[in-house]
Amino acid sequence: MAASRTALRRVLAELGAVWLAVIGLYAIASIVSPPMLQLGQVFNILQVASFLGVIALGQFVVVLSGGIDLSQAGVVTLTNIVATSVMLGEDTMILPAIAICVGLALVIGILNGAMVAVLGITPLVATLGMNALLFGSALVFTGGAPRGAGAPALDAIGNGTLGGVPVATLIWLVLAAMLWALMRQTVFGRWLYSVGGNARAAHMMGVPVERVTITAYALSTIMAAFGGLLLTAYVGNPSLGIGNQYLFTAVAAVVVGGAALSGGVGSVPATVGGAVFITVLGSFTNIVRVSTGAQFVIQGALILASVYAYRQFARRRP
Amino acid sequence: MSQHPAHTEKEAVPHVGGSAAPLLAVDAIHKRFPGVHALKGVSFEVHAGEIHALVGENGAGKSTLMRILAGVHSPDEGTIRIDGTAVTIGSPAEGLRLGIAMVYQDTRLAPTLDVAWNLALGHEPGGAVFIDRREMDYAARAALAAVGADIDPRRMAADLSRAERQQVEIARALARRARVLILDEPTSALTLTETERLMEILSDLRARGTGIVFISHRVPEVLALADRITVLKDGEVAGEVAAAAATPQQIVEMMVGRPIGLAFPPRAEDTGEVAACLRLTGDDDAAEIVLRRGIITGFAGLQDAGQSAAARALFGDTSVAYDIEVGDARFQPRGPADALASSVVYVPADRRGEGLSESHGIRENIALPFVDKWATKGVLATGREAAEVDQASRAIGVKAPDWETPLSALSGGNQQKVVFARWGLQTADVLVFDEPTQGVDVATKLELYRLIRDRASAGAAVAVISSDLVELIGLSDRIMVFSDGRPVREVDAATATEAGLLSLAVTGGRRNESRDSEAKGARRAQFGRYGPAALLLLLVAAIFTVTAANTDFFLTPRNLGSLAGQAAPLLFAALGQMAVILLGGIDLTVGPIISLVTTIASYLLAPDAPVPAAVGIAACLGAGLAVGALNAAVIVVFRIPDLVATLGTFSVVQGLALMVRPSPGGTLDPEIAAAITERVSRLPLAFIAVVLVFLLAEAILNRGRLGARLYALGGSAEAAAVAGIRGDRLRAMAYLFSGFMAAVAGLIIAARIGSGDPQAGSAFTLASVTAVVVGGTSVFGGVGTAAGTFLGAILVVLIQNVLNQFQVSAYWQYIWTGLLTIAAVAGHGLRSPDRRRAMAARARAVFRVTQAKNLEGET
Repeated sequence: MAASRTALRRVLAELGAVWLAVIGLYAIASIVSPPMLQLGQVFNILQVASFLGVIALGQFVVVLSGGIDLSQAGVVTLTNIVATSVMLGEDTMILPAIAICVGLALVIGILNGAMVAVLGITPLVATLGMNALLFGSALVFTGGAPRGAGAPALDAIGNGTLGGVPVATLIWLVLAAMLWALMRQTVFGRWLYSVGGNARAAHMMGVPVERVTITAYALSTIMAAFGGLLLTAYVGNPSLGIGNQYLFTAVAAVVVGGAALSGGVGSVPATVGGAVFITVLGSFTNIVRVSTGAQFVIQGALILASVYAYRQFARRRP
Repeated sequence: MSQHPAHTEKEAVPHVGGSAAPLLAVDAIHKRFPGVHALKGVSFEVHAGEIHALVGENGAGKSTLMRILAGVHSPDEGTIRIDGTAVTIGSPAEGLRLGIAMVYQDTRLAPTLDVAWNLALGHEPGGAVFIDRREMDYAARAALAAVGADIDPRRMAADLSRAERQQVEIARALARRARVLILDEPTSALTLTETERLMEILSDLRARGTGIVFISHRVPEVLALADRITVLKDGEVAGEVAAAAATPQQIVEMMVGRPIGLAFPPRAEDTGEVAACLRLTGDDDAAEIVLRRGIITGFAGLQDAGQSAAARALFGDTSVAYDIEVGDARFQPRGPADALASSVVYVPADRRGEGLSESHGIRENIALPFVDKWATKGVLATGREAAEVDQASRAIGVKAPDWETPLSALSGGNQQKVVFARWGLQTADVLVFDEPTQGVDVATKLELYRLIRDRASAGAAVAVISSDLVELIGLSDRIMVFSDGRPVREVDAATATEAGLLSLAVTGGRRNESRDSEAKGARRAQFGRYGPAALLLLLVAAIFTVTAANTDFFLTPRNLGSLAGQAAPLLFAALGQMAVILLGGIDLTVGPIISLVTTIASYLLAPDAPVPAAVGIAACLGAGLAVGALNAAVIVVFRIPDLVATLGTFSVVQGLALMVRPSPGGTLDPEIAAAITERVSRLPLAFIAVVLVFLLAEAILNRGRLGARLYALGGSAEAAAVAGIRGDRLRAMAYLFSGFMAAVAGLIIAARIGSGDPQAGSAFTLASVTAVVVGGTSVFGGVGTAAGTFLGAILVVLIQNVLNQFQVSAYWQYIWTGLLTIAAVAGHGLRSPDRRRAMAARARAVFRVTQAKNLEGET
């Protein structure tokens, strides 16, 4: 009986206790505003959550390795600027635009990973520096006044639905499922958990720690580029401020999902839950007409509270 | 002199100090840790002028008892008396006040402070703010001379050899008038000469009436030095004897509590072929290490005498170079992966640091080295994994509810069984166990001995490193003795004795005495301190010269005045950030505080403000302090790591700024703004003020009580605790200071832009970190100068100004700030040769093609 209880607890840990918080918050939001219960509103929230959700998947991989990636915001902005400049409203340029953005993200991610894994720079400083560099590049590239436009055909991805479900959400869930499989069913995933859990021990057991770390940072920026592309498809325009909000919300989603910033602990479904929670919280605060400023305050408090709560929980576990 | 009744039964023991109550006595002490009853009613006492040795195996409870005496742990039951009076020792600093000083095995000196500071820390001579450096050096020389140590007081603690650090710690203890000196395994890392020197010092101290507790497991040494010997075994006193009347045999038997040899599995009968052969590169006098199949070779020696280095060479660690042959071929592993692929396994001593991942379960820990071999095309073979893990765990007898139990829930012995179960899955030709029984209970030890012997019987060449010579003699077939970094002689274990091995270990080496270069002495100290700042000054001067030569406007008083005006807020913010980074933290809220302050100022310092200007300014500064207090509370009270904590408060403070003023607007009273931006013949008053603040800060860091506390805490939290520094309070003060400085910067910004802007400070978080790290402050804490931070901030502002001169778009600012930050932190890492080597090794690991193909001649 004790064994089945611990097994149940493990399943819950993998899925994420955060889903209980999502349900609770959604229930409260529905009481305050009954339209929240309509299916259309649910899909609305999922649509908005998709962008954050995809970016947070990448952040999760880096956090799992024991690092942090604050350059994702810059990648999202740069992707938006580059994609719209390459496409210039032409459908034929969609594939080149995607290829260029993902290629760029790959290079940035490898650079981030090399700074952390080879040069030994603190992840926070390395990626914060990279973020400034990327944002500056976007500014210099556009001269402060971005031109260009998304291709019309992308609208079907950004705003379209498939059987009522937003396409962006489907893409998010497919990416999440793939990442989940990568984390739990492959050697790379196992290595990543081991590097986050104890990098020196992993090294002593033959795990190629440096390569795993670099791959983690590359996955993070590639996910950020996917998020940026989805966002571009949704918005259709270039905007220099488009990525800024993800600097912290991506970390917040991962932390609320229960991943430990010290590395080695966390799961993909819980990170999905974290992104949903942050988005539901955002729309709830919109409903009750809370200002942008107050939303920032709540988000910050939420990061602190969940870090504290998960740490307490981990300490009490046998 | 009154006779104390408690003392009469110890007549056999000579006391130099006479017949008063014991200096220090513990009575029936109990201490329990989760799952372990570490001390079971231990009583122990030391008199003035006595050396009382405490011996016992690893895990017998020596360290726990000493930590209780030093105030690190508190006992669950029992009393501690000093001069017959019961006391409680709440902290190491309190222990020191009561006259009990501990000299730790791994020393507790602040690595980035010099010797004189370390000696005086917490008790420096001088005034309330600044110390009297001359007096401090004088006192340091006197204290060092008192223990006969010839050490320059200006040398950094990090540059001292272990023997020197120990001498400094003893000198410190005596300078604090310690009456009881506790030494934990003091000779474990010393050369023979150094050991003799220590013995002289201790004998001298005894003659002067100090009570000395000497912890060791080296029986010959203990017999030669001590007056009395107490033997601990499994948390209980196994006996107390007068050293003069004791024999080594008697002590050893009390330690192990069993006739020696009986508990070990029988030795090998046949010696197999040679599996591996190691020769120390470029040292023809060193003995050759030959590992043969079927037998166990013990590696003996003092601590860090080269045993582990030899084993690690097999695993690809090149810090000590060995020429290695495995089988008949030359073997040059580039890392653990290569070694494992060639069936060479090294099981490290530091189980928690290098052997296990405690947050993960038994299954994952056991399977990790093999998951890629079992997998098909990168996909885990979960069925096989479960089966292999189950079989291996059962075979070894790992005790756990199931194989998903996290390692953090297991005892030390059970954790070690998990390690053994793991390597049971690897067919090994060469198998090295480094301190396999450390922190393991006696019953499990016996099981581990059997398991190790089984691996040898199955045909592996096994090597065991152990500091427990009794264990090593009992377990091994052959023993290789190491001395001072090199293998010196191989002996037959069946005829080896502890004393014999020990004498080989301390006399075998020859080129040992001067391994610590005196060259890195005091002359380095001040250059080391201001080296980064000097380089930065050259860079700033070069930029000045080049720009002045190429533009007309740059050197005009007007431009220089404007440069100083731009620099002032960043300088304030950077100084606050530096206080936090010196402690190894980071304050991400610097930017948001500046934004928040401008928004508050745009109401409370507006022309029609509801409050007087003084109140408005106080409110602005108070807001900065309040954020600092919030950061301090989250970090110090709720124990959330600095990075996440200020990441959260970053969002909170930014939100507050947006709540006060959602978009830029409002006006500052022009008179107040003018007062803040007032200039004295083109030089902004704020700049003059910040220069003075930096001068004060540099003086405090270099010569002030507070500065030394920051360096000590940032360099080593344990060292700071021993010196009685209240770490939490200091950390909280650093965040308060950072918040306050950011608020000052915010006021200047508000005055410069004349309005409130919730994004006004957004560039300052990174820029302040940039200024600090470019200025030579280490992000790991403990190293840095205000002078460097000053120049770092000047450089950041200067580059901006110069690029303006050359008509470069302001947007480039983000790019070069990012680059500069990364370059500065990377450059830091490159300053030390060790780090450069590690970096090169990591770079090679990235580009290595495959693991097995690089093995030359692998069959």
